[in-house]
Amino acid sequence: MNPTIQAAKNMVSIQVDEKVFPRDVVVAAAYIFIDRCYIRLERALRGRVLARIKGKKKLSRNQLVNLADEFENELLHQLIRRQVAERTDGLREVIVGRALFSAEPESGAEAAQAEPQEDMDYLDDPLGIAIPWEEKYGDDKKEEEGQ
Amino acid sequence: MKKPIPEVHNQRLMPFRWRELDGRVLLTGDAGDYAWLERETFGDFLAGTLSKEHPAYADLERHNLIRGPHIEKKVMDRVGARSHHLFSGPNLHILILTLRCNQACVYCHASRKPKTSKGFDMDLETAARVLDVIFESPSPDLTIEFQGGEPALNFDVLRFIVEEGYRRNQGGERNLYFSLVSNLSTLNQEQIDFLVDNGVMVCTSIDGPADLHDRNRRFSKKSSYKEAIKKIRAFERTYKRRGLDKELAYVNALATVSRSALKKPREVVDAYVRMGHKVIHLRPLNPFGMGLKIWAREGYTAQEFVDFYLEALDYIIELNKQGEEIMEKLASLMLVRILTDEDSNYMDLRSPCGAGLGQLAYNYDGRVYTCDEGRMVGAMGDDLFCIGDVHQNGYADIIRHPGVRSMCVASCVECLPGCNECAYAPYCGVCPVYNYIMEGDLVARSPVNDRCRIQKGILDHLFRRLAEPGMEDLLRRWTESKDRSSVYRRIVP
Repeated sequence: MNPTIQAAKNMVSIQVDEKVFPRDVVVAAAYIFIDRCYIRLERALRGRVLARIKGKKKLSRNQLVNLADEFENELLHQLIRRQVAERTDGLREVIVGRALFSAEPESGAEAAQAEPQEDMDYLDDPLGIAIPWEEKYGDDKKEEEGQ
Repeated sequence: MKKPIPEVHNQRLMPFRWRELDGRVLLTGDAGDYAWLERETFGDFLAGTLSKEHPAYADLERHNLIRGPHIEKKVMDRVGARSHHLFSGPNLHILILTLRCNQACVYCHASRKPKTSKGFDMDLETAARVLDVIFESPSPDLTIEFQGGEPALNFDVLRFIVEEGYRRNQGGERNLYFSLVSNLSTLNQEQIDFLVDNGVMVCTSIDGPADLHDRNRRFSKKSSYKEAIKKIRAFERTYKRRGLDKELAYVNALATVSRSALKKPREVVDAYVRMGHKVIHLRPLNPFGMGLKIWAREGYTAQEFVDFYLEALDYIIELNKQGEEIMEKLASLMLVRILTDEDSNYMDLRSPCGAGLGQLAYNYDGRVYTCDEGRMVGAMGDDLFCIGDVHQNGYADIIRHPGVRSMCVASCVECLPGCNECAYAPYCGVCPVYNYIMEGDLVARSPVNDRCRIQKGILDHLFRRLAEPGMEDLLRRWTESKDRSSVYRRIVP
C-alpha cells in the first residue's frame, strides 16, 4: 500500500488494491476516521482506490505515519468483519430472531404464534409457493386455449 | 521451529474452536465441552490419523468433539439449555431512583449529583409508568433492581414500587424479585425491616480493608467502611430475628478495583474473609460515564487488572485448600459456563448480551436505556442507547426500537470478528457499550480491546488451574450456588 506522507499538506495518501480490500471495506475503514480527519476517496489506476487522509489538527510526520498504519489496520478489521458477517449470516438471523421474538409482548408473540405452526413440517407448503407455475395454472391455461 | 498445524482431513470432527496455551492445545465445543491435546496429537487429530487406541481419542469422544451416534442431537440440546436466555425476554429491570448520592467515590460516574440537589429523583407517576412497562415484559421472572446515585435517598418511591409491584403480582403469575444496590449509610432500622420483610436483596460495595475503602468512597468526615459494616451487621441481626437461614440471607458485596487496590490483592480478599463473607466479586473499573481526568487518576491497563485478579484468585484457591469457604464471583460465573450447562443469565457472559433483551434501565426521569451502561453513556450527553420514555412509550415500542436489534446483532459472539473463532466463545460475552466508549464502534477490535484481554487473561488462568490434579473438584464447588429465592419472598406479617 506504500503510504505517501505529505507533511506540508498535513496529509497521508494510501492506494488500496480493490482485489484485496473491496471498495465497501475501504469506505467502512475510512468512515471510522472522520471524527479526526478529512477523508477523500478517489478511483486510482489499475483497480485501486486512493484514500487521501488529512488531519483536522496539525499532525507531525510521525503522527501521519501512525495514521497510515492505523488506517491499514482498520482495513483489515473491516475486511474480517465483512467476511465473518457473511459467513455467519444465517446463524445470526436465527439467534437474533429468536431473542427478539422471545422479548415480544405476550400479545405480539401470541399473534405470531396464532398460525398452527407446531404441527407443520418444513416441507409443508400451505400457500402453494413451491408448486411450479405450470402445475398450478397449467389446466387453466389449456382451458383458456380451448375456448 | 514449531511444526505447522496440518490441514483438516478428518470427517469425524465435531465443530470446535482451539487455542494454544503453554505449548498445549485447548479444544472447546459449542456446548462448552473442552479437552487438552499435545500439539503433535492435535495434528494427528486434524489429519484423521489419531488412533482410536490413543488415550486422547476416548477423551475427545467423551467431550463430544468426535462425531458419534446421537452426538449432534445431544450437543444441540445442550446448546439450547445453555442459551435459555434466548427464550425469555427482559427479566432484569434497573431503576435509577435518584442521581443524588451522599458519598463521593473517587471513580464515580459523571451522573452523580450532590445529596441536596433538586430535580433528580424518580417521582411516583414515573415509577407507576415504569411498573406498567415492566409488567408488559413476557418474562416469567422479573427482578427490579434499585440503583442510583444512592437509591435509598428516595426510599418513599422504593417503598411504593415494592408494594405496588407485589400488588400487581397478587396472583403470583411472575417470580418477582427486588434488589437494592446501596452504600447502606442512610438506611435506618425501620427501612431495614421493610427491606427484609419484603424480600429485597441487598448489595453493597466493600472495596477492601477500611483504609482502601475509605480512600475510594469519600463520606464527608465519616468512615464509609465503618458505616457499611455497621449496616451489614444490622441486616444480619434482622435476618436472624426473622428466622432466616444465614447461609441464604445475607448482604452481597462487591469490590470495585481501583488503582490503589492493585498492589493489595491479598488484603482485599482478607477483608472479605474477616467480614465472614463467602463470596467476593472483584470488579474492574469501567469507563462508562467516567471523565478522562478520573480515568487518568484511577484507571489502569488490562494487564494490571489481570495481574491483580490472578493473584487474588490464586490466594482464594489457597484459602479454599486450607478449608476457608470463599469464592470469587466472576470466576464462579465463568466456571458455570465451563463446567455446567446452566444458563446463569449473567448479562455480561451471554450471547447476545443482556442489553434490551435481558435487561432494561429506567432513568429517574423515565427515559429507558438498553442497559445501565447505556444509561451512563446517556449521562455523558450521548443518548445513543436510549430506546424510549415511559411517559410516551409502552413496552412494545421500547423492545421494538432499532437500538435493541443493533445491540443484539453487535453482541452475538458467534458472529463477531475475533470472537467467532475464539476458543472461549462458549463461555464469554461482549459489551457493545464498552466498545462504543473505547473504540467508537459497537463491534470491538478484539486484539486491542481491554475487556477482551481481561476475559482472556482470566479464562486462560482458569483453564490452566482446571488442568491441575484435583482442581476441578474444588472449582466445581464454586458453581454450586444455593438457591436463595426462598428468603427473598415477602414475609407475611
